Amino acid sequence: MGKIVLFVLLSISIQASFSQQIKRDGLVKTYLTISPSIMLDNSERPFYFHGNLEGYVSEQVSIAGDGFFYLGTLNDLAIFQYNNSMFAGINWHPDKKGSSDPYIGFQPGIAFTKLASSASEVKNGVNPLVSVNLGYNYFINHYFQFFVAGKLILGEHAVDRRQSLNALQFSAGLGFSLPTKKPIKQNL
Amino acid sequence: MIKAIFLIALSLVPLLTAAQLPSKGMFSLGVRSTHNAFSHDGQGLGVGGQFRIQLSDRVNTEWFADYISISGKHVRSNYAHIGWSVLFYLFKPQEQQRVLQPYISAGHCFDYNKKTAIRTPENTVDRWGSAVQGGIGTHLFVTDRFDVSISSLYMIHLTPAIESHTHEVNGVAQVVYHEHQLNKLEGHLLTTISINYKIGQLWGR
Repeated sequence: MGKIVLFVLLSISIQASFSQQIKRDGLVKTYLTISPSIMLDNSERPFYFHGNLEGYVSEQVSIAGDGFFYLGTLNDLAIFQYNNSMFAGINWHPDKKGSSDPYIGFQPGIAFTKLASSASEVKNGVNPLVSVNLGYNYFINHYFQFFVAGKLILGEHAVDRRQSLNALQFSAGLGFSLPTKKPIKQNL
Repeated sequence: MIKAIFLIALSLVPLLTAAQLPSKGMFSLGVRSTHNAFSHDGQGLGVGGQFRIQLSDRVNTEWFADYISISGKHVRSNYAHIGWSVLFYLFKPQEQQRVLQPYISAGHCFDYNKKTAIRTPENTVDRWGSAVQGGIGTHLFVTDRFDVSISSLYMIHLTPAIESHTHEVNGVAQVVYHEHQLNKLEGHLLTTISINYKIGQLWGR
């Protein structure tokens, strides 16, 4: 019981020391991370190098671009030689202020794919994608934030054979941000 | 799955309205995702973008570019559309921004179609064409500047379409193409979800 109380008090004190009013309008944030993925229509488990660049055009709306570079699979099944994709869209942040920043978003995208087929003349596919984002940022201050992000992707490769690109992708880590609108007092 | 996306888009609609921004000369930028249905090629998915320039309180223009990919059993059909539509708003604007702003839409686009046999990608044919589109849609304003729009437009090709046929030769599917000599005014239904942000007024300040 004592340990639980200590843990709660510690959590509150960390929260209090980190929390501050974050002005999101004009904030530009970015991160690079490794993202595992679950393909929804087959058992391949690919993972990606994931880059994000996002600019807040208001306290509640951000324009976001994401790129995924195929690094391989976490299991032995490799359906694609590569499956790189990029997305552009908008995220909506229901909480206007504070360090806590959940969001939902919509990003159309495009995938550049090639099957790991033995055929020598297999061409690459350029495939439209649609995606829905769901995520959460926790701003430590105006320059750093922790994030977790999930992405549902729908699409299909159709060169050589039809192959679903439907997937769930996950990302988490530490991101960096920079306020671009008027200087802000910082509590580092 | 499309239904799920539609429901998520609807869930973005807040209960409160926001102040109406000036409409004349307003420039908006957005991205879009398109679902293709009711065509010979089958169902497909598209990606694209658009900008809008609003001419008056009830008339807006939308300038778009789309890349749509439709996969059939043996043939993949890719479309590129570059065009414009005029949006006429059914209700007069109010002081407070309406959450829902329905409209009718009509326009024209240039249209490129490339058909490719899925198993033999070197077997391909393409054509340039032109099309007109019309239908209905609505904006869902999440904030005064940010909207989610859903529209369904039927696009009629004004150029003879390429058709593909598949024959079995020794158990192997062979795809052959031919062009319609007569234009049958065939087309497809394009349902688009887009998200847009009002950047600012180009004139009328």
